[in-house]
Amino acid sequence: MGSWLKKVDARVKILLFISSMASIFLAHSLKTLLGISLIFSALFISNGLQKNLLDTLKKYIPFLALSFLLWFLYSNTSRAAFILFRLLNIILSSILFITTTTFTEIAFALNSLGLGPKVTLLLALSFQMVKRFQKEFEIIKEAELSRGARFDKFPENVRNGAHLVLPLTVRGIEAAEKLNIAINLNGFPAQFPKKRLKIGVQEGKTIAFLILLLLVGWLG
Amino acid sequence: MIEVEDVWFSYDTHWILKGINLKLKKRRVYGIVGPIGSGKTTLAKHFNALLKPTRGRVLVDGLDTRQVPQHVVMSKVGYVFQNPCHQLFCSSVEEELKFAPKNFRREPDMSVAEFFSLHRLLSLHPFTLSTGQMEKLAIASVASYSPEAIILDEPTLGADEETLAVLKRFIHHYRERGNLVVVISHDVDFVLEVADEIIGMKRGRVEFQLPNTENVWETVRGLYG
Repeated sequence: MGSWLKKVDARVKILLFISSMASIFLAHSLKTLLGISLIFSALFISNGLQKNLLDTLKKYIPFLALSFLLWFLYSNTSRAAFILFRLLNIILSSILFITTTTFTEIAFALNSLGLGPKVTLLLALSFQMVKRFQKEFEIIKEAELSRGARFDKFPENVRNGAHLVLPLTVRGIEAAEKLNIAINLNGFPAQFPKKRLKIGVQEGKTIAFLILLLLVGWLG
Repeated sequence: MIEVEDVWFSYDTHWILKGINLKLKKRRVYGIVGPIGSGKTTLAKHFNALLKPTRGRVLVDGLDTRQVPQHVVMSKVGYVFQNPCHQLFCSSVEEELKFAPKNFRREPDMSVAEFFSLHRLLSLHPFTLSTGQMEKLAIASVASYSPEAIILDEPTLGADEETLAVLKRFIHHYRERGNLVVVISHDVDFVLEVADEIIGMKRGRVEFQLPNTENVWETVRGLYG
């Protein structure tokens, strides 16, 4: 199944993202947060993104578990569950936005929403650098693993993790230098193409979900 | 040494490797060639358990890579990555050479330092070396723990004449010590110069595995057509 949300205008998706965050923070009960999780699940399933969701969620399990444990120790079970679902919804909302929107789309959309070209470019490049760093991190980690470094037990994982800092910094500086040259060669400040917002069927569906999320968060 | 049995691999719904079958023996140099995106690196990452097959199996010295801990396979099969900056992370050349032997609890073979003319640079920081020296250090840091097989991923990228000459000597020397060497490269001339057997890959499949004879060039050219 193809993702219909990928075809939606990025401006609408930015609004959906902001609305979903608002509804998460408006929600004051566990039931409401569960309702928001259900809406997100419907969005993931209807876009055929279940696998992305599960793969990414697996990485967050230790973080979620730690948060639950800390809140359980300092407060009580229901408060810990509430925070757990709030965090889970924040993660779901972010995954949905990231997997259905490209960096270029975000840059163009932010520019159309009135952000200056310098700030837009800066934001778009920052997003790209995060992804690039993530990739570099994986490659360097693979090299360490191949030479017998262990990341599965303490304290080796901390020690070997520290080894990643220097090559990552060097690669980051290299990438920034190249980017700087490329931007200058491409004649910055660039003009972003302007596109009129058209509300089609997909945008309509997204707005419906957006309203639903806000209503659930507000009324719940 | 390495047996690949009907290996299929995918990250999501798209198959990157499609039913690969190979047998790689010790005391041989294998060159893997093929266009970009043919699956060369993905296949090689299966040899040292960095990746595990979605279907099929990879046996290293009879051990199924899916069933034994990753570091056991990695202690047998060393991997030299494309970019030296990605694999140098210690604070001195000497530490870099001793990193893997320490992790695999082996005596470091410091003769590699001399082989790659790094013996006078042991106290220097790896990032202060020249590109050629960094490339040599990347190979030496893997060879120093004496794995029975070594994979060189695009070793000729950015290498100068002197580094290429040392690289050729190293590949010959490592094979003569009874080990297996796998060279992945777009530099077909280099591969034809050093390999005993050529493995041609295209669109996730092995198109051929042939001894390196005079006629093999025509077959290799067909991969890029």
